[in-house]
Amino acid sequence: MELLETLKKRALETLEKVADASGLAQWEIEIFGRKQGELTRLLRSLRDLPEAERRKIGAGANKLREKLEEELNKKRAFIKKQTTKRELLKEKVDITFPGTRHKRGHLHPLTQIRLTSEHIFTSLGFAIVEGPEIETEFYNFDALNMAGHSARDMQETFWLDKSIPGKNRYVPRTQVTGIQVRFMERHNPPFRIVYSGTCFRREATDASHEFQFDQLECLMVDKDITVANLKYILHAFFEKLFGKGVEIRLRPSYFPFTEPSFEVDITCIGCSGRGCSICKQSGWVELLGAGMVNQKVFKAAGYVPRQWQGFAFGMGLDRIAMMKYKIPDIRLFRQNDIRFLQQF
Amino acid sequence: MKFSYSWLSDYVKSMPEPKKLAELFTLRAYQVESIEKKGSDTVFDIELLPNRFADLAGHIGIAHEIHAIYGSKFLFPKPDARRSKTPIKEYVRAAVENGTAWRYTLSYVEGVSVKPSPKKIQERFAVCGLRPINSLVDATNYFMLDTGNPAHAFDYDKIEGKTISVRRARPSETMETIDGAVINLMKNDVVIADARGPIALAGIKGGKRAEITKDTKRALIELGVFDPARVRETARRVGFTTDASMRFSHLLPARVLGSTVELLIGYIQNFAGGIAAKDSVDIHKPFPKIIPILLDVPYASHLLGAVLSEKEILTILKRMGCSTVKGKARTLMVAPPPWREDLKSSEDLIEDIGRIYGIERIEARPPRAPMISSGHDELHIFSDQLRGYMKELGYAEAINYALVSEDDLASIGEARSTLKLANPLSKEYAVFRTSMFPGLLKNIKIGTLYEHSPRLFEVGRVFRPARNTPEEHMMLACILSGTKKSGGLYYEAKGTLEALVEECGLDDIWFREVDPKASVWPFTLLGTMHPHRSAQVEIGTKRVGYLFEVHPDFRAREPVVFFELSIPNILGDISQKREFRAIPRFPAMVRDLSVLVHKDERADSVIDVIENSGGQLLADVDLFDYYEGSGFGEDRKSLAFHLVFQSSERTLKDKEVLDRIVVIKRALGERGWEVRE
Repeated sequence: MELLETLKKRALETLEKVADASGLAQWEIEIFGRKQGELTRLLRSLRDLPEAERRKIGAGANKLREKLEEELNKKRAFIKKQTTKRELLKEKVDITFPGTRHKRGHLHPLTQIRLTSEHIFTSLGFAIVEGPEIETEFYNFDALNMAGHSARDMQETFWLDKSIPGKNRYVPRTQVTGIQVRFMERHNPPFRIVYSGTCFRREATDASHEFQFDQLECLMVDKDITVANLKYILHAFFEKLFGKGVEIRLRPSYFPFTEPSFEVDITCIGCSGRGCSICKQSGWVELLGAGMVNQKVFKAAGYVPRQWQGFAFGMGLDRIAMMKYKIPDIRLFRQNDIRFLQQF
Repeated sequence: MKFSYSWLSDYVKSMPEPKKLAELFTLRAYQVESIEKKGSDTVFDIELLPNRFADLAGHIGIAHEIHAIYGSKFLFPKPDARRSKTPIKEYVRAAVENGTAWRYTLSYVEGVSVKPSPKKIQERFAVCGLRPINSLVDATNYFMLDTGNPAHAFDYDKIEGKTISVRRARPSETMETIDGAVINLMKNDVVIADARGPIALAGIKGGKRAEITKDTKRALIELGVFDPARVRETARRVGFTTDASMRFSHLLPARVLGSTVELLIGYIQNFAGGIAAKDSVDIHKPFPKIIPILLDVPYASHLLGAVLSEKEILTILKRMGCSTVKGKARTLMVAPPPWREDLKSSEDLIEDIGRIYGIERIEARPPRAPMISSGHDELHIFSDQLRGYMKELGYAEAINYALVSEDDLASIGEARSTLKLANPLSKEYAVFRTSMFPGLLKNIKIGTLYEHSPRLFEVGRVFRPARNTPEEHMMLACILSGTKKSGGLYYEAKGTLEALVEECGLDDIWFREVDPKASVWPFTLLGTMHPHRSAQVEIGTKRVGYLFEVHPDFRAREPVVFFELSIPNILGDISQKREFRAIPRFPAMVRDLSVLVHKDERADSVIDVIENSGGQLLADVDLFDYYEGSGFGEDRKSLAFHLVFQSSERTLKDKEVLDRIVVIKRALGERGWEVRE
C-alpha cells in the first residue's frame, strides 16, 4: 500500500511539472508505458503476491490508475487549450489595418430617391405605371384643362419641330401629369397609381433650375376620396421619407388640373422648423403641388363628371434629393462626375 | 405684388397686426412671401395666382379678401367725381376695333394742375415700389394700385382730331414712347391712336406725343381692358414689363370696370383738381348675365372630407360677396360677385369655401379603398432590376441629358434622322439622343481624370422619328475604361454582360460578328467600333445590342469599351424563366487540357470540337487560361481548358474518362491542333 502512495505522490508531482505536449507524452510513457511504465510494472508485480493481499492492493492499484488517467486527461485538455491560445496569438492581425477594397457600384441619387418614394407608395398599395417622355399636345396640356395656358408658350416649353407628319404637335413632356389621362382612358376606378420620369422645361439653367428634371406623381381615384385623405397620404409619405416629426402644411394654390389646389410645405429639414437660410426663416419649405382632380380632367379621360373623386400630387425628385442629401446645386445630378456618383 | 398695410386698413376695420395677418393670409388665401416695415407702414409681398389676378391685383381686392377670411367689416371706397353739364361727345369720341379691347372707357377732365403729389401719396408709392411722377399720372397709378386696373392719362391738347381709336398697328407704323424709345410696330400690336397715329401701346406704355407735362390743363383719362394674349406678346417682343403690362397680361374684370370710372375721376380731382365732362365714353359688348351656380351642400363636405354645416357655408359665401338662394333638396343657387369671373362651377366654390373654412382644420384621414392592384409596369420594374444588377457588378449609375447636339451625333457617325427641337435653348441641347454613347463617352473621358478605371452605366431612353410618331426605346448602356492588355477590357465588359444576362435567368447569349448591313434601330454606332474588338449580342435568335471597344479615333487616352442593350428585347425573352436542375449526387472528375492553335483561331471553334467529341459524360468545358508567346512560335497561342466529366447515375471510373480524353485528343489532332496535357 505504501508503494501505491509513493507512486501516486511522485506521479502527480511530475505531472504537475509537465509543461507541453511532448512532456506529457513522456510522462504517459513513464507511468503507463506497456513495458517500463511504473504503474504497469507495479500492476505486473501484483501477480507474485498472495491471493488476499493481491486483491486488497489490486483494488487500490486500479483506483490509482483511474485517478492518474483522470489527471492525465485533465492535463492534456489544459495543455491543448494553452497550445491553441499560443497559436492564435501568433495569428494576431492589426485591426486598424485598412480592409481589402471592393469595387462598389452606385445607384444615382435620383434613382435612390425615386426607389425610396416608390417603395413607400407601393407599401400603400399604389401601382407603378409609365408613359412616354415625348407627349402629344393633347396629353401634356389640353386634357389637363390647360388649353390656352401661358405655360404652353414657346418661351417656357420645348416643342418638337414639324418633321413628323400628321396633325399632332409633340412636346417633350413638361410634367408627368399626362400619364393620368393615358391611364384613365384605359382603366376604370377605383385605382391608385404612382408614376415618375424625366420632364423638360425651356428654362435657363442655374443652381436651382434645370431644363431637364425628374418628377414623381400620385393619383388615387374612388367614390369618396377627399382632401382629408390627401393630407393623410402626404403626411405618411414625408414622415417615412424624412423621419417622424415632419409636419406638412397645405396652402391654397392654383393648378389647372386640380380643384381645390394646394401648395404643400413641409417642416424645413435644415432647421427642423426653427427657421434658417434654406427656409428663409419661415420654418417651412415648399415641396410639391397637390389637389383634388379637376372634373374637367375626368371628363377629358372619358369618365362621367362627378361620379368620381380623386387626389393627385406631384413633386420634383431633384428638389427632394437636394433636400435629403443636402446637395447645393441641381446641375450636379447630370454632370456625372464620378466623385459625385461614388458618394451615393 | 406689394401691398401697404395702412392702405388696406382704409378698407378693413380692426385688422390683425401685420405678422398675424401675413400668416393668416398665407394659410387661407395666398402666400405672403415677405413682410417688411417701411417707416410707419408695413409692406406685404403677396404671390398672386393667375386665376385671381383679376380681382386681387389692387388694395381693394386684397382688403376684400381679408374681410372674407377674417370676417371684419369691409368698406368700399366712395367715389365723389365732380362733373360739368357738357357731354363728353363735345370733346372726344372713341372707336374700338373688334378683338382688341374687352372694354374701353375715356373720361375728359379740364382745369387740372400738374404738380408734385401730396406727401402721404408719395409714401404709399414708396411702399408699393412705384416712383411718383406728377399729380395727374400719380392719380392714375394710385387708382391702379387701388383697384388693380391700370389707367392712362393723355394731354388732350396734344391729341389730333376728335377720335381716339383702339386698333391694330398698321404696316411700318412706329411710336416713340415716353422714355424716348422708338418702337417698330407689328400688325398684332394693339395701339391707342388719334388722327395722326399711335399715342400709346395699349396696356403697355404711353407715347411721347400726348404725354402729360407740367403744362397740361386738359386731360383724357383712359380706363380699359385689353386682350391679355396680345399684351403679353407685344410686351415680350418689345422687351417692356411694366406694372400695367403685368396686370393686363391677365384677364381683368371688364364687367366691374364701369363702376370704378367715378372712383378714378375722383382721384384725379383729389390730386390735380379740375372738373370732368358730364359723362364718359364706355364701349363694350353686352356682358352675359351672371349665371348662378348650383351648389350641392353635402358635396362640399364630401370633397373636403370635413363636415361643414349649411350655416357655415352660407356665412363664407356671403363674406365672399356671393348672393345665395335656397334650391331644391340640400342645394343652394349661388350667384358669385361680379368681380369673380373665375367662379364657374361648384368645385370653384368649394375650393374657396375650403380655404376660408381653413384647410388646417380638415383632419387627415386614411383613405378606405378596395384592395385592387392595377399591376406594375413590367418594363419599369425590369429596368430597375437591371440597375440593381449593374450596381452589384460594381458600376456607378449616370444620368445624362436626353438632349444632345447635332455635332455630338455627327461625331460618332450617326447619320440617321433624329427628333429635333423647334425652339432649343442652345445648339448643345437641340436634338434627342439616338444612343447613350455620346453622353457616357463624355462622362468616362472626364472620369478617367479622377479614377483609375471608371465604370459607368445608364438606363434611359433613346429616340427617333418613326412613321407618324416619335419613338422611344429603353436602353441599358455601360462604359468602362482602363489599361488592360490584349483586349482584357473587352473581356471584362463581356463578363459583365454575361453575368447580367445570367442574373436575368437567361443562358443562350451569343456574340457574333457585327453585320454592318443589319444595323437596325435601336442599334447604331458602327463607325465608332474597333473593327476587331466588336460583337453583335444576341439572346436566342434575337439581337439585343452591341458590345465593342471604342475605335482609337474616338476614345480617351486609354481603351474604352461600351455596350448598349435593348431592355424590351431582353425582357421579351425572360418568359423562359429559371427552372430547378437537380444537384449532382456523384462527384465530377476534372481533367485539364491545353491546345495549341493558330492565333486567329476562335476559342468557340475549339470548344465546339471538344464538346462534339466529348460524349454524354462531358458535362462542361471551361476555358481557364490563355497564353500567346514565343514558346510555341509567333503565330500560335495556347488555350487551356478544364474538362468536367460527370454522370447523374454513378461515380465515374478513371478509365472511362481516360478513354473519352483519347477520343477528344484525336478529334483535336484531326484539326491539326497540338494537344498538351
